[in-house]
Amino acid sequence: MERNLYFVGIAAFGVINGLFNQLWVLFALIHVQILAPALLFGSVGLTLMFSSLMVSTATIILGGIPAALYERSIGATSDSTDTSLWIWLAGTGLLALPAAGNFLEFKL
Amino acid sequence: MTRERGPTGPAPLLACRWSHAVIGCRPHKSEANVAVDPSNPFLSNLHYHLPNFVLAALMYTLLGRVLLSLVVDPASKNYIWRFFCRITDPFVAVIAVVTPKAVPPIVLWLLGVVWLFWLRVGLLYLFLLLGLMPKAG
Repeated sequence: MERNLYFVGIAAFGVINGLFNQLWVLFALIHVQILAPALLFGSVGLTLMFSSLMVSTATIILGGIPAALYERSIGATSDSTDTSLWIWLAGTGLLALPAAGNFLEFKL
Repeated sequence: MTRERGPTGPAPLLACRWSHAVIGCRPHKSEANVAVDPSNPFLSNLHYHLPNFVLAALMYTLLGRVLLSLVVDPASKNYIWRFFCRITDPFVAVIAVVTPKAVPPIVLWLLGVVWLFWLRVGLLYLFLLLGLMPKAG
């Protein structure tokens, strides 16, 4: 499979989780307001978008941990392999599962 | 005719500090030893604020490194750039271990910002679980 398709898929799963996982977006929203109130000038709209971004990126980061550990285990030195990208894609897909219901209900 | 009071400002406070220094009058209770008062919420919770401050400083420095990298060459000798790199390189090296190699450096730094945000959330919860957070009210 084309490498860019892996990245598109990983990003898509991250976006789905960041937009539709209400629990984690709310959790992030509360903590952004506590920990970085001045960063977004106190704007609730911007804070919500930033929270969504935090959840999306966290999904991608957590999904990438098994892939990174696999790369270390096989001794990959320069770049990711197809297998590790599959692991990364599957990891983000699993993490985005709780948001799948809301995503499908939204009917893009 | 009644005279209206003027706006309050720093003048009364300065006058009192001056009188304290020159003629030895006692300062107001509200301003006495604010910096070393054990009831000062910042100082009494320094065990939380200090690591939180270090993580926040690292987070914003990493964000600064990302922004600076847009205009500065990676091999630049600019002292601000070198400072940012020196401060954030150890943390970036740690997160590189748990990040796939396909991720380019600038994205790795952005992921580092997100890591630090969630680490600060984790720190908050760690202190809450240990009962070391200040009580509200």
